[in-house]
Amino acid sequence: MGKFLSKIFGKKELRILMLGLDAAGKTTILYKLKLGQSVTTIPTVGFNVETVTYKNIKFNVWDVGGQDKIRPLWRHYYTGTQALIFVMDAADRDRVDEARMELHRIINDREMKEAIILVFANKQDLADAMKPHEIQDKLGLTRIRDRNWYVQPSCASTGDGLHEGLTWLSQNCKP
Amino acid sequence: MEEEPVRPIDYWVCRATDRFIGDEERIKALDFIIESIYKQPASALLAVDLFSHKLSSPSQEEAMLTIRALDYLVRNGGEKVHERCGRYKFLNELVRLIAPKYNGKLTSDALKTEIIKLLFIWQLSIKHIPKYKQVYESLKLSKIITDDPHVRETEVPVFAVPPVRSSVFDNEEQAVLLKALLSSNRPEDLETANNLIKTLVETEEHKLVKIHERRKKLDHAINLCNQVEHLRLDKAAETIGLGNYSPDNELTLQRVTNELIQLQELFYGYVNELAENNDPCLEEVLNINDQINRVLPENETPKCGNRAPISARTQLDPENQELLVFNTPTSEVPPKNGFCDPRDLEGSLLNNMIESEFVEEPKIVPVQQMTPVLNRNSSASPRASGDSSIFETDFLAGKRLPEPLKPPTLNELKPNTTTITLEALEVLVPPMSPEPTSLSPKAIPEKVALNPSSIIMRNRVPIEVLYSKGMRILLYYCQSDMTVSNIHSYVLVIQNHNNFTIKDVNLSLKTNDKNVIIRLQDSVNNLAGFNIFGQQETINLLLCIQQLNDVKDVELDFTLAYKKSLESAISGSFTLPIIPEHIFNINF
Repeated sequence: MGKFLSKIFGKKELRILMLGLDAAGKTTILYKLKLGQSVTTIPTVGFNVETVTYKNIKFNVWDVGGQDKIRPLWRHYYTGTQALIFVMDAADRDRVDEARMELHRIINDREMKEAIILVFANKQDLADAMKPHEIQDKLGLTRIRDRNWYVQPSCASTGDGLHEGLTWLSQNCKP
Repeated sequence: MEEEPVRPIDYWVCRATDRFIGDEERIKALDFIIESIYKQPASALLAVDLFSHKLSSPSQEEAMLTIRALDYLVRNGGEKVHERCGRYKFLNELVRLIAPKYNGKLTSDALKTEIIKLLFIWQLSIKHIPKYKQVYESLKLSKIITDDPHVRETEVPVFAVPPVRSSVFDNEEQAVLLKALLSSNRPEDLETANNLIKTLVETEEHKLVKIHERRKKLDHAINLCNQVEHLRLDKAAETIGLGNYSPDNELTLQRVTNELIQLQELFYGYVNELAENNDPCLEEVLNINDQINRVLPENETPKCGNRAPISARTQLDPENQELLVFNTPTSEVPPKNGFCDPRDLEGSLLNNMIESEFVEEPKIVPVQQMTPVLNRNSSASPRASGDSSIFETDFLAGKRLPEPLKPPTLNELKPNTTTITLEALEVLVPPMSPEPTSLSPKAIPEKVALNPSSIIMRNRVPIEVLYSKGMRILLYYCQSDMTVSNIHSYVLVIQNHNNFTIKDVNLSLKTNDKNVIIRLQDSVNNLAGFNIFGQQETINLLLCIQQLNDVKDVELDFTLAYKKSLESAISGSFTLPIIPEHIFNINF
């Protein structure tokens, strides 16, 4: 019923799951989008959930803690997810393999089959941050052929790239 | 959307490989299978086995459809499907279709190409299950596969290693609860979900702390076992005169042993806990426990205290006193002079007087004895000597004769008796019992001799058997080629601290104790006295004592016989004629 009313009034509502390794910048991104300002964060143990409205579209964004010991809990958030935002630290070259493994573990889950994939290549303000073309190679995105994906460079502290990511999501998400 | 009736999984397997329906219908059937696998993971086993059976269909078209269905299933079915397909039972069915030795010749080239392509993709995609790569590599080695198939990169899916699930996060009840809370739109439920996650994390951290603590305990136990072994080696080395084992080491050994016993009790708890969880660490804990068991039993043996040879020394004092008593009656010098500095001169004069008596009675053999009492019974001397000789001969022969009647003069030998305790002789090993039928133990020979090259001296202070009139006898502990568990070896050292040579030195040893057999090296030597120009000489004799029964000490009677002569102060020696004392007096 809620969906039907949403369609009549032309307002979209999307459930977004934001995952990634610890210290990638997930919580910073969430509250930059929500509050429009940078906040000091501590490692997220559970989850944060906020509703972000942008261009008449309501994004329900779930930011889930990324420490390795709580990654087994990620699967409990998959149900109903329409889009995955995978945040990675573009300057953290040492852990790009770990990020790739976690990303593919997520998208191979049957409950995430329908989810489109937005990768925030975060921390682009750092000198040696990887660029999108390098990241899509290292993350193995070119092997994903059954759904849409996109790599968006971003800088959570300044907000650069964040709304561009939301725009891509709104244009590519199935209702 | 109409609801499909519930059907068994084999129905969907047949639908998925039915060549008479369209692709969409087959995909739909596969989706039902995958749905069933996620609801009930055991379905994966059944599905894979059914598809495996379909592979051997005589219809090439059906087999091809089975291959494509399996491809779809592996891509979407999850880890349970990967595990089941990654077994030889399943992979061998694929090999049968392409190996000429089996059905390879019956399989069409198109089907073989498809199978090889599938094996190639799987060995790239599912790296964490090594059998995929093993099978593919062995097929290449066998030339069944000549070239890698051309596969677009996008056709190769990436399957990451499934995470090692810790028990806390794998708890199904917690998972169901968490999932339900996260599905709710109520803020309170989301808050509860967050609190639940925090609780799970704290539980997990507490569990990690316990694991870390256990690791430390296990490492500590290993170190303690090594320490015990080192201490035991030091102790063994000390027994043979090496190393520096000390009472501090003994205290350390006891402390370490007690600590190991306490750790072992802790490990029993670990074993129960780990066995319950079927933890791979169980084997390691059991191995360490075995190591502790190998170390502990030896420490339970009570340690015998080493008794100092003080008791042997106390026996010498009464002897000295009695010797003084014997000297007094024969002295014609005034008592006052007996305590003056010229005591040595007095001794010399006394000896001259005794020898003078012998000159007056030429019938008596002029043999100097350490027992002055014999001189007062000079007429009985030959008989006493004969009796002793007979007794000694019979005893040395090992014959068990009734104890002979002691002649009166044997009682006079008592003052020379000294008790040597076998505990002081370091008897640590229980003796071997002789054969009951043997009256004459053959383990110890009739005669023993000292072979210096085979002697290992013990690291113990000797027992002083005698120190009188310039003559000293010391008993040293040693190990010789005679030493076994019930035969003990010693060296008796005779020293002459006088400034003159003594001749025909002979030491004899006897015992009335039936529990031992003694063998003393037979030797008659001259022994020079102190000489400013050279080193002190000694006479070294080997003594062996065999235990017949468990006994702690043995009473030994000894006699040291010798002749005296004067020696020049310059070097060498010669015999001077004995001059009566009264002649010396006239000259003065």
